[in-house]
Amino acid sequence: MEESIETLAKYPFIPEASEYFKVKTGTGDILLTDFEKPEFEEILSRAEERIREALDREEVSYKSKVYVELLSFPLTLAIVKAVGDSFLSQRYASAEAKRLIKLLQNEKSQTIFLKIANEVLMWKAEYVWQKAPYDYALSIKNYLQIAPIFRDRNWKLINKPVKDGYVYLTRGEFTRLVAEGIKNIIEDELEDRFDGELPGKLGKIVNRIRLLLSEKRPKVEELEEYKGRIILEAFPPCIGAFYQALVNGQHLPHTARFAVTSFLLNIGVDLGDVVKLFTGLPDANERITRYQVEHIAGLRGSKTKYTPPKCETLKTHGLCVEDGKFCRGVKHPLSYYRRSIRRIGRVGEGEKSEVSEEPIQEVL
Amino acid sequence: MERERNLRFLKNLFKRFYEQEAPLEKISAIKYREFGFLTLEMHTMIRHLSFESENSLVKFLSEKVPADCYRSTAYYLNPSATNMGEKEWLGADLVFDIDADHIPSSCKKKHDRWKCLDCEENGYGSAPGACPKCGSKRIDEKVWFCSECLEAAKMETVKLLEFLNLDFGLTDQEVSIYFSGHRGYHVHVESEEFKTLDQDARREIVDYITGLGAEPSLHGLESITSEEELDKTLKFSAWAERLMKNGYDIVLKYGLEDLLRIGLKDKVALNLINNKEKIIELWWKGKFNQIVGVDEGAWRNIFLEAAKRSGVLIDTVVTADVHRLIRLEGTLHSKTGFRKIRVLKDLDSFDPLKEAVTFKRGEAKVHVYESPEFRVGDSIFGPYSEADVELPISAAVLLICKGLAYVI
Ligand code: SF4
Ligand SMILES: [Zn+2]
Ligand SMILES: [Zn+2]
Repeated sequence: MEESIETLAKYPFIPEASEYFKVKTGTGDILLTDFEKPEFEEILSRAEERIREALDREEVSYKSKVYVELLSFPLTLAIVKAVGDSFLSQRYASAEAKRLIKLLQNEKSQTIFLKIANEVLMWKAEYVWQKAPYDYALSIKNYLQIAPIFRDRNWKLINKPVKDGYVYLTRGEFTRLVAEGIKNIIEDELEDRFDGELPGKLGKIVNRIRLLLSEKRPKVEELEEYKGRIILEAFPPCIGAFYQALVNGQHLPHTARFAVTSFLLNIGVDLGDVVKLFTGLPDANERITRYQVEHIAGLRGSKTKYTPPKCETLKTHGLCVEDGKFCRGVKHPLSYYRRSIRRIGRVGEGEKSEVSEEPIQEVL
Repeated sequence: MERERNLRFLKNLFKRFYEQEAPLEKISAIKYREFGFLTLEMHTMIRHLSFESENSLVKFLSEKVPADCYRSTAYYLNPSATNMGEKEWLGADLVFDIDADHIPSSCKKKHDRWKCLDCEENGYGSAPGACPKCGSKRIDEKVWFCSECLEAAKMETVKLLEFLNLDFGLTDQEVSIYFSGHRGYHVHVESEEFKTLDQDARREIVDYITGLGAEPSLHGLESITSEEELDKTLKFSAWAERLMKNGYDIVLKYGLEDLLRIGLKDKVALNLINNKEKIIELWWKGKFNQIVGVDEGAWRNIFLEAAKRSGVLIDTVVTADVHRLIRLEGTLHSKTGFRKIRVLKDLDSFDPLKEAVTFKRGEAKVHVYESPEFRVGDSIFGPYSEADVELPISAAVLLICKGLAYVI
């Protein structure tokens, strides 16, 4: 074991960390009853704190009591599993990812980056030695496993330096990818639910977290409240279908997710409500996070507010419904919406609604 | 009557082919592939089949004699399950389809025809979306292919191979090139690197190869200041190199009209033309952008145009789809009677109208309704119009498959 305990405390998911956990806690596995012992008190409360930080600030802090910091991580995972809530799992995973970004930003050597990339994430990554404007080379495959969820066009593969199977990245970019990768790993780990209740002190923590969660969780019913403001019948068939799919918890391709998100934001739906649509539903799509929605809304990164793709683009992605035959030659989903809103507006004045009831089902 | 005669004729030939030539090359992980077939008689699709080995597949082919045969690019744990959930997707090859359909070529005006089914209006070239006379969308299209459009498809394939090699670092062993049996080429990539990528990732690859979403300023070329900086950029970026090469061509070849079309202002375009020589000279020194009167915006437009010219015209849907069925290598194409055949040697000298010809012995008498001039092997035939002719069997089969003739 070459890593210092401080390194392990910072990056408790690297392989040596779990070794350390085993050594420190005796020869074999620790028993659940061990946690009742007073020497574990501090670790228990740090574990609970990690979760609270995730719920309150969406970011886990780094505390310098390395021993506690290190041992509380696996325990936190166990507690989150026991709570068994996908909203919490996602929130916790992304809060840990933020912790990781901050820590990596302060690292001086590149070895830890490569260690996490190659030994935890099992990527193919290398340090770029030549006096290059880039620091790391990552295999195209690994890059594409992560980057497509970042919408900004400077993450598009085509806008990156690529050669011979590798994508060249700055340290900042590499950090983002690594953090996202770790977030996915934590999420996957948390998928593996823990049935049954934890005893004693641990059980009490679980209960406290559940209570806290009931306050923090975005409520599905709140979605109803903006139903009035978004006029579903006026949605173009494509967006209508994506929206339906989302509400039904179905998987949506990337472009479709982006289209419906930017569409909702553009017709004035509250950002928080859009986030809820993704995170508040049971089995929500884990990959769309608040981050992305904020990004599309122009609150992050390049600060551009995104509009939905043009019909032409949706067509090339095979997302247009029946080649736009319900759309009377509109060029943009938003113009479809505006047009039918006007038509519905006239309904009040005694005209008959021309808008068909059926939100088209079959595209996806 | 004529249709049935044609059918019987084709069925005999196809059957003999599958029985006697046992043409199939090895299909990797055949047990994990889904197969699908179109029947000659009804042209209905039978899917969700699987085979233990090439032998059992050949046996099936010679018994059923399908019109067209397909297999999944994907690997499934249960390839014969009828829904995707139960199939259990394990991964998929990365495949590319390059079809003359998607590539503009001047020969189409010569050999493609369309006819409005409502008002009989007709014309040459690719079919319009709607009839220009009556607006009907019921349009019948008769497409043909010739050396010229096949050559255009080949050029695109060459471009694609460069991407796979230079950018993606794939080796020749991982990439197989096929003539599709009709109007283009299929490129199959079997590599662990790409097997498990999902749709979103594959779409990124599609955008990368077609040039969609390219933002030249992110490659920093228009603001480059020295040869050293340029070399460094090119060393790590195959796209930057492409932009530079095509940008060079544009500066060299584009006239005023072209430059205006790609968005340069009058004055800027003139400046560029007047300084052409100097720009060319400074090009690879990384100082081409120091000409007064040609601003960064103009360079961006030029590199955007360069991106357009660098992209490959692949069928974007095929590559992004991880459940795709693709024509089975070695089998017959029912629109031509040619075979989907692997390009083993050098692509440049590959002549699909020779190598993919399957039926070589004998002649057949056919009545041809209407056909353009065409080549099969080394011989040129046609044009014909309502003629009874005796043709080498491969030429006769081609016309029959195209619906332009019947056996007499
Ligand atoms: S035409 Fe435009 S708005 Fe209508 S379905 Fe197609 S993409 Fe959507
Ligand atoms: Zn007509
Ligand atoms: Zn042609």
